[in-house]
Amino acid sequence: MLIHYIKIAARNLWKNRGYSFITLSGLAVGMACCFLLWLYVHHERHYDDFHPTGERLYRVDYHADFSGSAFVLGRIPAPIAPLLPDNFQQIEQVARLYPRSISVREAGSDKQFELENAMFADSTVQAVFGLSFLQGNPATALNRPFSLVLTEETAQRLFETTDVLGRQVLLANGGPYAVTGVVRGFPDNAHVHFDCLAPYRNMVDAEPPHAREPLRNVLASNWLASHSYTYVLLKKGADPERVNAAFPDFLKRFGDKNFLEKQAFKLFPVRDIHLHSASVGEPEPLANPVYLRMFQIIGLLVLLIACINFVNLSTATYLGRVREVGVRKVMGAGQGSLIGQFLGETLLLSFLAFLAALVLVQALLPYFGAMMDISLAYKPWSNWPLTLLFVGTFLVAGLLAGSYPAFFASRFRPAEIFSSKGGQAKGGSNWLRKTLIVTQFSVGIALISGTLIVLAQLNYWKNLPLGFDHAQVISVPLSSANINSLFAPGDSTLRARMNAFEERLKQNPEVGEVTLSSGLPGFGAARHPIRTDKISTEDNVFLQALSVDYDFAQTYRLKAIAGRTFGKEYGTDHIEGFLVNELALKILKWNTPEEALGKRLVRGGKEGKVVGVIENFHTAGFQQALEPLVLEVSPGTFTTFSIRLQSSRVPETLQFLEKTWAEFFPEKAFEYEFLDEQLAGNYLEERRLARLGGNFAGVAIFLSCFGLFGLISLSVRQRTKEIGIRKVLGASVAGLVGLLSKDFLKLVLVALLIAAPVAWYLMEQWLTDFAFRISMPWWVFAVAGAAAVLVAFATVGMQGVRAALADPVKSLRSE
Amino acid sequence: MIQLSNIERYYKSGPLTTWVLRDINLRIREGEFVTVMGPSGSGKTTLMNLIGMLDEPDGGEYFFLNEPVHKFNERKRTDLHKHYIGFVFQAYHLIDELTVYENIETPLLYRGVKSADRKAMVAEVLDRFNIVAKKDLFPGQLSGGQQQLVGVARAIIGKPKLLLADEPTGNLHSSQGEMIMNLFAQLHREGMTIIQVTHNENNARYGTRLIELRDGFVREDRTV
Ligand SMILES: Nc1ncnc2c1ncn2[C@@H]1O[C@H](COP(=O)(O)OP(=O)(O)OP(=O)(O)O)[C@@H](O)[C@H]1O
Ligand SMILES: [Mg+2]
Repeated sequence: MLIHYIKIAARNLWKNRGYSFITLSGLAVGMACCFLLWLYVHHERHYDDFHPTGERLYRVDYHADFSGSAFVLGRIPAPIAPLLPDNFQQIEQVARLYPRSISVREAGSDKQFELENAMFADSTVQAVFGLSFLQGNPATALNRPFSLVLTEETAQRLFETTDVLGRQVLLANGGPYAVTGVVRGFPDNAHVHFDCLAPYRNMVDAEPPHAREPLRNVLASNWLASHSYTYVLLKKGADPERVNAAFPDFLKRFGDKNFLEKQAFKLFPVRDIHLHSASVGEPEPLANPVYLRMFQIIGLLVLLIACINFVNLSTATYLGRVREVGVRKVMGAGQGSLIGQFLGETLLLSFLAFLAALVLVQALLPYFGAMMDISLAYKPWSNWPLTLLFVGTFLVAGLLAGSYPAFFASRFRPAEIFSSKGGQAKGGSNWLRKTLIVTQFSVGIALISGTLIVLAQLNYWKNLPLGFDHAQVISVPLSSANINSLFAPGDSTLRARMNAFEERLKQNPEVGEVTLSSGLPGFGAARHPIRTDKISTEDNVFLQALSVDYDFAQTYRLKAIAGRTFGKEYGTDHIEGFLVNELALKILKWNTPEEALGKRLVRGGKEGKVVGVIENFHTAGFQQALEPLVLEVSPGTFTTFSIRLQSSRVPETLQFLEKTWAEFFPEKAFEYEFLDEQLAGNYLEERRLARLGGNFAGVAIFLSCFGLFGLISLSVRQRTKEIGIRKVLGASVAGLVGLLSKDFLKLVLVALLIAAPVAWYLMEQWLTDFAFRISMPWWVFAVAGAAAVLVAFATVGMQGVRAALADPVKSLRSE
Repeated sequence: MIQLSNIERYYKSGPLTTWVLRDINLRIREGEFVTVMGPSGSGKTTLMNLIGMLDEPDGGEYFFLNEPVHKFNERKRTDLHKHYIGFVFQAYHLIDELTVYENIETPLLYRGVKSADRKAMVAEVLDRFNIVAKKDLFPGQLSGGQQQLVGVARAIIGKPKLLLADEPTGNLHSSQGEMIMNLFAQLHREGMTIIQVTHNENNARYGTRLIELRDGFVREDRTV
């Protein structure tokens, strides 16, 4: 019997093979999309699950309330951690992590590069996190000063092998550090990552000599500065709330009495950081739980659409087999065996779709990962709850699809099935199917138009002038990313080295202008309080201020509309010169550019006078409006070189720059980025949106067409006789296709009418956030609608032509 | 074997009630070969469907082998299909995706006949109907007469007590029709009860009794 069923199922699949393929691939694509999204959500929801110390692992968060508005920080003052184990009986171990970027190289080698995530860590880090060591002794690896634990990747990068115990490494040109261990780095779904671990106290040695003593003081006794991530491993069964409750007493005993009212410290579960932390200064970007829910819903919707399509399409094939149900009943088939047969068939089909979806998921994972900027992996066995979910969906899809013929088997008397009136007229609630088609196309059209609008907006931004010349400019950071530098006094030798470096570069004709500044144009700037003769402190005027070198205006081709730009030759610009932009005039209550010249201006603690007014330029992405800006020359705050490359011989010039850099700044690896690429980074999120939207639009339209295909096939089958008769009576093929297509094109038009206002409304919301935006491009809806109609017409037309070309004698005889 | 008393069947469409069968009283004994005739629309097919339990009457009582069919549930009806009744249709109604062999075999599958017995039974029928050579062909590859032959073979393989045939030769030309009718005559001689519907006077002659329907009434009922 089973063989009999399998035989007939296989023959049916083969007989309708084009159809079976479409049915199957529609469900497979839908499933794969949903799987991918759920995989992503699953990945985001299971951050920091891998720590063997799991549930007992907490981070101490810093609740600060100094300015009247409370906020939470992820790092706490350094002196707290060493005191914790002795003063809280619930705490088993504590470890501090201080992250910074640092330049590394093998001792004796001159190949230096920047490590983004170097960690200075207490030796207890092993006990707290339970790191997995590949080499070295976990218990003692970080006990001695100038020891160093590398991850596999870093070891490979430095030495091209992981067999590196005892090798010597320089950090920021200091050390040498001896490699005492190699560990596996944290996997992708960790809230923090490290490239190497060095003893906590050695962070002092990574600073220039003049900065070491102040830093030592910070580490020993600064109870204010938010400095190190501090992780706590609780004893088994200990209650974190007890620790939180005991903190105020602890602060009274050890803390700074001045801050008692303003500071609070609380444990936060490490596993919850990625989704639920409210802390400022997280080591890595967090996930937005709202987006995750949205992705989950989108996944479900796609799956639902695919499932309903699957049901529709299978139903369409079963319509041709209604007679079979009648015949089998007459031959003594019980309801049970009929239902079993059809459910079995659809389950087989949905199982095939499920397998195809798994293959698709594996094939698409890398692309999807690249789109979402994460690396995802799906291992069916270790991700078994997810697998179970997927198995569930294929079962549901199969059962739903099989329920239609099963319904037929049980509901109708054979007499009704054989009299053509019975079976086919009841073939389906067309109303439901039409609603579904309209919904699918609405989603598709809305996504297409949304994506087109995002692209139009991006294109608009691309062609908008920024107000400064960024062509062929590279930016080179002066130092590693390291908040310890905040505690250091200025470095007196640095200005001389910077000048000498610039001089050397200018001797090379391939190098254009070179300048220094506290920040790059296009990436915002800190706001500072401003006073003038007309504006007092009480007016609370805060303006963006950038510190730039004399040749900044020249390098970026900024023009003065009154007065002049900075110049060394005037002698006093670095002491008292200010430039303001045109927009600043209004806020500072000067009526004309000329009026501003020579006026007194105080920026924070620095007093001087306005020497010129420059044209406005964009200090941030086009999402933001133009802003008033103040420029000054304060060499101590410079962080970045801007260097314009002259020629087409860029690789050679970069080599020259790197070599020269190593001569002047040996403690810091040469890093560069093209300003154009950095500026493009301002629109990363919008670009990702366009990519996501585009892909989902594709899938939605694809699935919609499948649904449409199912519907038209059904209709063609229901109307076979009508078509046959019309043909015999002389109807043309074109006329017949028109007859069949009309209704469906109407559906697409209805979808357009629904989708356009919804998309318009949503995209208008999106656009209003931007200072520089396009006006709603109406052609987008026309294009999206036309695309949908075209695709729909192709789908419908294909089926229609086939039906219209069919031999009328055949279709009439089979009645 | 079959007793119908006061059977009626009607269709309602809106306020209108169309009577198809009215006050049908019939008694058919085992071994009879009954021919049902009547103009188009007189209710012949409807009557056959009722007797074959493909449809249910709106009134009256139906006893099959002295059991009250009108009180049966689906399961019991399925059981009767399995063991007592065979059908032959005007439009053959073979399953297109199954070969001749598999089509004939299907009723046996539902009866739960063992594989070895099944093989023997199908082989015997194929042999008897002279279609051994066609056993691996699909219905689409056969002529109408051949398809109906398969239809009859499928109907009788389970040795039903009652064979119902609604215009079995309606789609066939006369020589093919004659072949089928001869087959029926032979089955009748072997003791099978047969009820056929036909428009053809010649076919009617094979039967032992003629029932004529008109407008849902039995107009004439005579032995031939
Ligand atoms: N589902 C239905 N709904 C309404 N009326 C029906 C239905 N099925 C059959 N009828 C009506 O019942 C009457 C009898 O139909 P039936 O098929 O029994 O006639 P018949 O004698 O077999 O005719 P023919 O010789 O053309 O096959 C017809 O008038 C038909 O219109
Ligand atoms: Mg009839």
